[in-house]
Amino acid sequence: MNDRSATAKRRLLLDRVISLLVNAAGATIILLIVLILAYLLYTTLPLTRGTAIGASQSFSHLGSTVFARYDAAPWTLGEPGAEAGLLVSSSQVAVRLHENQLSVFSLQVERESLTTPEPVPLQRAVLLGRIKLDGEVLEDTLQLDDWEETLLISYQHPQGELVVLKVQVGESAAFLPQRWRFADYPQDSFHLLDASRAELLVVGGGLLRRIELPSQDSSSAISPHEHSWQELSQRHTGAVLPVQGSAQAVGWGPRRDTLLLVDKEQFLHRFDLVRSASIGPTSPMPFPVTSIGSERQRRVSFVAGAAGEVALFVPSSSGFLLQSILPGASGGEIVLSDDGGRFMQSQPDALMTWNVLNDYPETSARSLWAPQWYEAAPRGQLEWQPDGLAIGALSKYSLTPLLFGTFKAALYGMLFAVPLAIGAAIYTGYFLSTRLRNRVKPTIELLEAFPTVVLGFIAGLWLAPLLADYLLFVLLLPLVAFSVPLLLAAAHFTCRSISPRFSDRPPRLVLLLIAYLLAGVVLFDASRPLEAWLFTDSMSDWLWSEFGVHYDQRNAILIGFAMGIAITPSMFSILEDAIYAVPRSLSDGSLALGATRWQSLAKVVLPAASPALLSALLIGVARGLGETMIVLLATGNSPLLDPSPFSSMRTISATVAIELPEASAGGINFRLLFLSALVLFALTFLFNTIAEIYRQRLRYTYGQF
Amino acid sequence: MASSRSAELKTAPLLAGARRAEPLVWASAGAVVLALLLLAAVLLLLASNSFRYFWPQPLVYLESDQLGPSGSLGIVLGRDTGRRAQNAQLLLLRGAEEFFQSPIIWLDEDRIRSRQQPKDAFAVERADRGMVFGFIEALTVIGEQRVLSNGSPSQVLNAVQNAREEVSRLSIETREASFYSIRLANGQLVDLPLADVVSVHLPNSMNRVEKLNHFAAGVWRFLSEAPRQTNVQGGVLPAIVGTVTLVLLMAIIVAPLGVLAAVYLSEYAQSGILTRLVRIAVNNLAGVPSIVYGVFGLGFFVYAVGGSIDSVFFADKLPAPTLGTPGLLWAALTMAILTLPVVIVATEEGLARVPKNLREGSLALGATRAETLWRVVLPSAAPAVLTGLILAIARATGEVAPLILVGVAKYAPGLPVSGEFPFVHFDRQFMHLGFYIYDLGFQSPQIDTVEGLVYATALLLVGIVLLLNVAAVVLRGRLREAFAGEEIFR
Repeated sequence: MNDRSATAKRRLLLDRVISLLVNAAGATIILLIVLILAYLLYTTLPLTRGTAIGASQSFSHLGSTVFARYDAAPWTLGEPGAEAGLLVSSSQVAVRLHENQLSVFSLQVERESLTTPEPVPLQRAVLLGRIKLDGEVLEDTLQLDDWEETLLISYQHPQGELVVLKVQVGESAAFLPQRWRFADYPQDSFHLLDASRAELLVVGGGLLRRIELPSQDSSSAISPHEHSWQELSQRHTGAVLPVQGSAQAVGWGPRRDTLLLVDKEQFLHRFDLVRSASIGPTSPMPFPVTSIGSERQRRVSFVAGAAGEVALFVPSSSGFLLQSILPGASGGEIVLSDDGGRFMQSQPDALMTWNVLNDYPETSARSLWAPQWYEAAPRGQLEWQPDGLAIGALSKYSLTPLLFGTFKAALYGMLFAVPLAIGAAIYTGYFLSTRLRNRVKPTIELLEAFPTVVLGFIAGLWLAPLLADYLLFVLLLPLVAFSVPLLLAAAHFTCRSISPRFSDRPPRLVLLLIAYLLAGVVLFDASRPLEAWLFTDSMSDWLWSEFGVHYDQRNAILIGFAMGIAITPSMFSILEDAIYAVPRSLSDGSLALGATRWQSLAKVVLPAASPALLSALLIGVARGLGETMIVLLATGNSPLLDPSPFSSMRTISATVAIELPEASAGGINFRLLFLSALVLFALTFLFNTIAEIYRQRLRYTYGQF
Repeated sequence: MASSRSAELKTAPLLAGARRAEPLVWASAGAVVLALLLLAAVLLLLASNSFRYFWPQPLVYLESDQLGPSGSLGIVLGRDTGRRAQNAQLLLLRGAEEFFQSPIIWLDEDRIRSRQQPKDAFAVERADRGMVFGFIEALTVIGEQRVLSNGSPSQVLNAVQNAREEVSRLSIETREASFYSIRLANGQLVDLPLADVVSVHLPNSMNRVEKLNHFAAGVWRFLSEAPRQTNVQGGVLPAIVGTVTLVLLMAIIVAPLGVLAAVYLSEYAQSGILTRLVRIAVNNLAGVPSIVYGVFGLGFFVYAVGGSIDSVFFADKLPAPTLGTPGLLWAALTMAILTLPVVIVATEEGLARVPKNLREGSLALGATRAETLWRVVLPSAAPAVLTGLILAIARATGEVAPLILVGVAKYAPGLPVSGEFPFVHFDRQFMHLGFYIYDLGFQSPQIDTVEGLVYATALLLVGIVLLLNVAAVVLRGRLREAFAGEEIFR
């Protein structure tokens, strides 16, 4: 008895466990889709994280005045009780002004170790040399810029003379400073040093003058000597700047491709140094600007005011990333480090730094989707170029061309697939005998199983060169596809009118197969001579010379074919099932009332199956949007915004497949690729859900019969 | 009103005639024919190009103004029938890439002076650096010279083949003293190592049987060897092993979850909001683009899960990742999610076909729900489960996009399965047939020389996938037939 109840208990327990397991499996499915969505969101959300000012830090001067202006991280250099003096530093070199003498130190520290500020003992800095100065120097005019082994230093004397020094600071080079003096240099001018191009840029009187500072004597540039600024400026015409008269503040734009100027009315102007033209609209600054500058590797600029106001912005976009007042700032000049990691200010007895949290500056909805007026461009652009730094430019992150390319590929695929799928579904589901249908349907559905990488390979490598040669043939194919059946129909009708002995159920499929093959062969052979005769040469050349239409070898026509093959079977399958499922009694009634077979199909069967038609279209588009391998191999992958059937495109899926393996985890490109995957997910989710709703409506309709 | 009516009357017979001709029926039949033609055309293209790759092609000796006084010997890969005021051109594979600027050359057809197929021209396939075409004149085996100039071509061939086998048994040092002297088409006589020879044949004097043998040997080497020369030559065995391991591992993961979820939907679920949510989830899982699964797999499995496992269990190896990097396990898991809806839908369909009276009978005899499921329902639906698994495997075999992100490698000599513990290396990257096609077709600098290999791989992949699908269709048909009778009694 006990034994039996134990068995019963075990059986019941097992039943419970299985029930639990099965229910858990059901829940897991929901969890999975939620997990996918949640994880994509989790990775994407930091992009919306705002810009903020983080912790501030104060570095005591330890006897030396430290001003780490162009540094990735600030320095304190020196020891307690060391000789006082102004010190300016970049990441490689430091310059100290002390007792009318400039000392140039090499810092001997790896750039990579500069992430956290720490004092470097003076002993570790190697003195490269000293430069004797001839007179008093205005301390806050001391500037420096270094690039590889070239160091430029500038300062002004109280009587209005600008001095520029150029020193080679490499280990092998001898310490031989070259010195340019510009007498009567106007006080309301701004100057910027550019060591990478060995240039002095002077902004004044509404003009920009670029003065070359060569190492060897060159005829075009000015020699390291004394020059009268007046005389020099008359010889150098200079480019006309958008700001008339004197500016309020002048600074570099991102990556030094542009110049940023703030006029007396606090309006920001951008001047393109590559094209020597002003770009973009002007925009008002929120406070009186005293300094302006930019990061070196990202499109981020800052302005600062006298009372510690700072603002960060993307110059190609409108609006500010951040407007704030730095706590504890004093009256001195505020600068942003080259990597954008911190604001810095030299104060009487310390160097203050404020961390800047700004990991994803160019990811506002506007900058991702709307045109941006980038540097070196004549107008606003929508461009995807995330590897800008690798090709010597700033990266451009516009998702619009990718979304455009995605829809373009899907829609050209639909152009091919829709007639094919609908036609095939109608004939298979309504006109074919059940026996034949049960063979034809699975065969067509085999196309769905085709690995898309194979379709892509065939399209990209076999069809693409062929398409370029037989463009006219391919463009005529849809015409042939429609006209051959119509001609056969006419022929059949004529034969039947002549002799009623002709069967009214001819072997359509066989006749069509023969006719298509014949038409294909004839057209293929005729198309090259025809093309040569019509267009004197190839059609793609003719398109270019007559209409300026650019022909890419991997283009939308190609995608139409390959994608069409890939999405036809799923649409066919849904539609065919729906047509076949419409009860025969419905169309039999219509036929009995004298309607032709096509009339009963069009007026009775198709309306009943119409929700499936919509469902099939949506599923087809969703499939086309997400297709990867075909577009990867056959689109050419250029992010163009050109709807032309002869041009290339780049889809979201292909971009993800190409770029994500190389993107560093957590970086801006990584997160943007996750965002585009999320967009793809959302789009297909939407399309699939609507399709599902329509399909359920269909089931409900049939439920009535 | 009246005039329009008379117009209608006039056009009516015409329209009626046009209707009776049923042009749209013909047009829709045309769509069926076109769809079938497309399938046939793609298969034919793959098959014919693969055949060309394995079947010995004639060696052609061409003399042309473009080549100077001497001619060129090689295989005609293709022909471009002139465009943009250019003449028709032949694409010749002349091999011996270390002696010529490029292993392929385009030749204008109208500048070709003569064209012959010399009977004594040899084609030598080498393990390294591609084919060599020419006339073998001498043979040196371990420093001992065997002059062959008086032998017939087939005697030379035998001698070379024997010497090759001799050399393959030698130690590496003595191999270096064994080489063959081959005269290239430009008259140059070069000595090449015998140990490097994979196969040698006389394509222009082979009979059908010899050609068939060569063809079979080529196919076998393609299936059984590893790729050589950065994938542009050799076989695809690692890719086959990688693909099979991946899909089997995936099947092991997806089968229990997929079947349980289908059982939930078909047997356990009450029609409520939860069930509808599950259905929506299954439908959407099926519709999510495969690349999105790849993105999720890379972010969640590789970086989040793999990274966490690394920091807990393999902390001593960090920063070199063990599981926090794309690999077999993550690829299989990603593929399992991707194919989950396939298994669920197929299994559910099978479960729905199991007659209700079977279940009721079992329950009436006092079996619990679980016992009914295990003893009655699942065995009856087993073919459907199998169908679902086969379809899932077919889908995973053909899918490449997610693998690019979660674990496939361009070249991975270490197979994911080996005799060493733990036998299946979950952390290893692996090769995959589909990715191999993508990589060769997309990244190859000289596509003309590898096209044949890509076609052969594509045919293999398509063959496997289509075979699996046909198997699933047949199996599904069997299941339908099995219960076709029972439904009548319902």
